[in-house]
Amino acid sequence: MPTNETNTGESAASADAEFVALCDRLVGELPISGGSVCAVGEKEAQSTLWASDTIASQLDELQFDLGEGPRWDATRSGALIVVNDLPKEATTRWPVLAGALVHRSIGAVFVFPLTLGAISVGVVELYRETPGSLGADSVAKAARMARTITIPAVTYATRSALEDHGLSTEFAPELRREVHQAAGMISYQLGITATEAFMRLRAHAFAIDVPVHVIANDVVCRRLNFKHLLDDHP
Amino acid sequence: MSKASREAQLNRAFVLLADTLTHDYDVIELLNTLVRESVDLFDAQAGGIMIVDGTNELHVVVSTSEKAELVEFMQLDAGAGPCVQAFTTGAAVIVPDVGESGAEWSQFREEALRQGFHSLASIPLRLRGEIIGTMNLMRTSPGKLNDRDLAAAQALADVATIGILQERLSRERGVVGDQLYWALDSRVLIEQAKGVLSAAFDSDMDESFHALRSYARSHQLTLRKVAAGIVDRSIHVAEVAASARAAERSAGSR
Repeated sequence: MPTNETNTGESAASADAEFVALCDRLVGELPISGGSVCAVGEKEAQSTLWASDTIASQLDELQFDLGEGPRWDATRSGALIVVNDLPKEATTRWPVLAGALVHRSIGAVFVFPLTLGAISVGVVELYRETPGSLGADSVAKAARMARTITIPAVTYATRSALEDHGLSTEFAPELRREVHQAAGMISYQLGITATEAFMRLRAHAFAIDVPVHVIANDVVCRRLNFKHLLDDHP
Repeated sequence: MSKASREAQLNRAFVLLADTLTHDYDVIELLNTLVRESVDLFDAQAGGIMIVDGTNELHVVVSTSEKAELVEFMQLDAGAGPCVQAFTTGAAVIVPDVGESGAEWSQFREEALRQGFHSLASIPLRLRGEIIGTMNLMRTSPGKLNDRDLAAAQALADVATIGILQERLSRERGVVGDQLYWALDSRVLIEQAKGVLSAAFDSDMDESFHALRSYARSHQLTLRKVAAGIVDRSIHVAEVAASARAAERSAGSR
């Protein structure tokens, strides 16, 4: 029925606006430089729903590409991860990420897990350009804001995932669909599982120091075939 | 009962209820505690709690006696009686003398007297306008709960209601989380399957998706099932290609 369609569309649009407004409040009301919100699935599927700026978006992407960082620790443990001095602490805690962070202006990172009961459904990741503590009051406030954002974020992520074309934006690539398409292609080309194919994709990107999404795009657009890549580097 | 011991007993009831609420509690256990304590406190001889289901009907969830006739009595009351009135109005209903209750409750009155109940109080389980059921306390002698007792009974019921609604919320949140997991994993599988087909057929992602969908339709499977089958190779890409060609042919012949 057309009327219902319109109503559903309108309520979805207002829910989206409400979610984005909650995200914007993070940057507006906390002493931070920026941040991002992402939802996670059971098998480490990750959907970046919002990011405030290029740096937040890069921090999100680096952790996705490298498979390590405070974000992963937060989703795995369900605990708040406070990194008051990222350049210093990363060298021991996340050595690969530390290398990639050089020359980027990220001094401190605070990751608030989003949980529903016992399950981990995502994170609110905040960064500040300068190192230093966030302070107890701001930590408490950010934790409250993260709780408020949980259901809207999960709703948004679920709806986006169900759509043929997800709700991706300039800084927030949603599920990075092209990466999974590329993993599927590589899995066929090499006769391996999709999980292994994703690891290959990630490893190749790391080896030549290019973001995973760039390699994925090369694969999907037929500029790169992993079968030939294998022949070149036996 | 002396005033002091009454206060002590009431306090004990609140502590017991709060205790039941602390960790992974069972709603039935919570309601059992509520009704047992209330029957004790307010000198009733029997009691029970009814909770509304998804179709707005009241069902006996716990009672002080498992006797079928007590349960049936309350169920009858849920049709026309003080219990359903408390449920619909959200206000406690006190019946000090069952024998003098109105004609519209004739069935209820007959059954109450047959079972020896002469007075009754029905207290709504409610929180901010939402009414989820009632607690019913039955006494074998006529008389009415005084205002203090009524307030105490309502307060106990309120504590239990918060517990029930919290448990319900946490169950709903579990469902929301499951839906997220399902949606994210489905999408990843579908995109991977599109990639597999795209590499196999040298087709673009849209064409791959159409092939995936037409296979799902012709085999009456969900997109997710087909995607998972393509990704783990339990569905051979050649079968998907054949299915897509057949769908094209039938579309062309129409």
